[in-house]
Amino acid sequence: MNRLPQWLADAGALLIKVGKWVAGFSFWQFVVFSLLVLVAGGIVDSALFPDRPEQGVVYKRARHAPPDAAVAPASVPASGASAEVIPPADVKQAADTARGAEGAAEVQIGRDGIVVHDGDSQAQEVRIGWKGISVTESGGAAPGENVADAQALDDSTIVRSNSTRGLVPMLLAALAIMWVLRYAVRSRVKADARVGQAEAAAEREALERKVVEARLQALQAQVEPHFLFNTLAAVEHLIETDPARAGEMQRHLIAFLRGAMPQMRGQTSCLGDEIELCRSYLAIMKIRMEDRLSYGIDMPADLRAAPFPVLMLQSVVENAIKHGLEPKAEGGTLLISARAAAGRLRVIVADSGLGFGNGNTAGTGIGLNNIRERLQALFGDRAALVISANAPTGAQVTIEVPLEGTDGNHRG
Amino acid sequence: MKAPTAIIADDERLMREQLRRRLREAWPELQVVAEAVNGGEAVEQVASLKPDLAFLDIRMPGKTGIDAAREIGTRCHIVFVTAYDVHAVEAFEQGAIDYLLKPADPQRLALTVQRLKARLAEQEPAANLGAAIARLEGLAGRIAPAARPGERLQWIQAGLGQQLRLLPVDEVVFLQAQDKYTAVATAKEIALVRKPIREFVDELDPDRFWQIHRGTLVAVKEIAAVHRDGEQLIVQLRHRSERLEVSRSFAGKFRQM
Repeated sequence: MNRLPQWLADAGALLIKVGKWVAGFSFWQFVVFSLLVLVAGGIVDSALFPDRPEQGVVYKRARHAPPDAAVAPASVPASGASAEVIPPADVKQAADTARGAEGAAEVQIGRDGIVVHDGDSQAQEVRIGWKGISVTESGGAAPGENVADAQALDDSTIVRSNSTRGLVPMLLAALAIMWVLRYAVRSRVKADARVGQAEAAAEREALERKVVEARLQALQAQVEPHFLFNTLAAVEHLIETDPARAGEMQRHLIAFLRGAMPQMRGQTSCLGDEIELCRSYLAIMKIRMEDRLSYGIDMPADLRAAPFPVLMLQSVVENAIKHGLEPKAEGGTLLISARAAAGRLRVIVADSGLGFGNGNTAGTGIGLNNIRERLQALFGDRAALVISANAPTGAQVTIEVPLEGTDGNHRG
Repeated sequence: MKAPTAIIADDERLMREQLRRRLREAWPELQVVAEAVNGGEAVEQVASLKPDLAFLDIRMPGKTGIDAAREIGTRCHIVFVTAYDVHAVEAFEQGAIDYLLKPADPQRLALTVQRLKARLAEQEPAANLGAAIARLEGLAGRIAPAARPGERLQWIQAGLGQQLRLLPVDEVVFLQAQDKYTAVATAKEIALVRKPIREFVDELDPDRFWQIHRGTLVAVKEIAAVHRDGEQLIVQLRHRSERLEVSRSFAGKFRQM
């Protein structure tokens, strides 16, 4: 009982395999394949069983044929008698016809077969039974014995006939099953393809939505109010105490706002502009944090024009200050470096601050997640965001984008 | 009556100077006896100098102004100072806490000074800010978002070769216990984290990561197929070739599959 489901499952798996194979055929390929199978089946059939018996035999005897014109108990017609081959379905009709024509023959159709008597003499009799055909000659052996002979003679023929009769029809049946499987598998594949298409569309849509969201977030959150108000408070103080410095800080603030305000910049940006934005920000923070902050920027001049996502670097730098250096009592150093390697533009922001997860201002990583999603949406697998610990303390964020990126991929 | 004393705590020198100058104009008798650059220093100075007032910036390295206020308790009157913390200001208003906005507006400062003078004259004990601070701390997450309990892990700190890296939880395919460590596998690499798997079980979103074994967590979106090998359920992954065993006690997740 337990093995039956396994057996069924195996059979099912085989059917599915065949179905998948057949599903690869086009309609005409399947037709050609079917014909080839049938032709091959026919050839095999006739090669293995060349002397296949005919399907139905009726013996007719002419009314005035000489009595010695007997029909031998085989399918070889003797002289004076004719034999014709007809399909079994026609046997009765043929026999009826024979009777009608001769007016002398008697045909009996019973449960066990057909018996044809010679109407005149009763001397000749043909019996067509399930097991064979017998022809009885008058004056010969008793009819029963001859029938037995005929059975002995024809049993093997009949058995053979039973075994070979099925090959072509079986092939036909198999082909029909294959056709049904082909249809089933094909409609399944079509349905799968539709589902796949729908999923791909949904994925694309989700990605597009993410780009829009990330851009909105990037645009909205760039000028952090805390930064802005603290800076303005510092400017106000410097106006009273050190007007030259106040002027300097105000110029940095204007440059920063020009870069960070969404309506003041276009959709695309280059690394040079993004670095300048960070420079303004860092200059302001330097005035505020004084000795607690030192920074360096290392960008080869030829990378200045390389396309780079808008406001991404600035958000990494701001994170480094906000979560790494500002919360650290003694402050530290921030370094921005840009390099080109193997078709990629790699920009690293390294700080010697608290490092990830060590401060009470530790972010939840949402900012970094936004950057990651934005990179994914803009460049797919061709971009990367790697976050690692800096030695001996602090964090290091690496952004990698394709270097040749002037192909319109470059949206903010 | 002795001259009132105060300390000023702010991590930015310019801000401390500015407040000192403004106070000198609005309250010439007030003596600023010390300046602190973080909350910890402020607490120490209050303990050693016993000032009447403490002006505490909220965002400071180490201990924040709120942390410091909790420790100071009722030992002196506390005035919070902030440039922009919309939630904190809301809490101040509700809790009748004294606060100043940077840069201190002279008129607004004059009002605060008047109130503080009255309190000192009546020898009112410093208000117990405990309840108000507790409420503030509820908002503190928004002021300085820290990893709060109950918040799901987003990044995993992991050692990769010589490097310590932050792996986004989104990219993790599975986690597997290895003694006291946990192997964290992304599509590209496997990192070892010095943290037992049971902590990850608590910290990761159970809807995104299923525990399929006492020592195995798998990202649901990375499950390609689950098949049966005799009695054993095996999870096949999308982006890794490892096959993960599902233990009997966690097999219920896949019963419908």
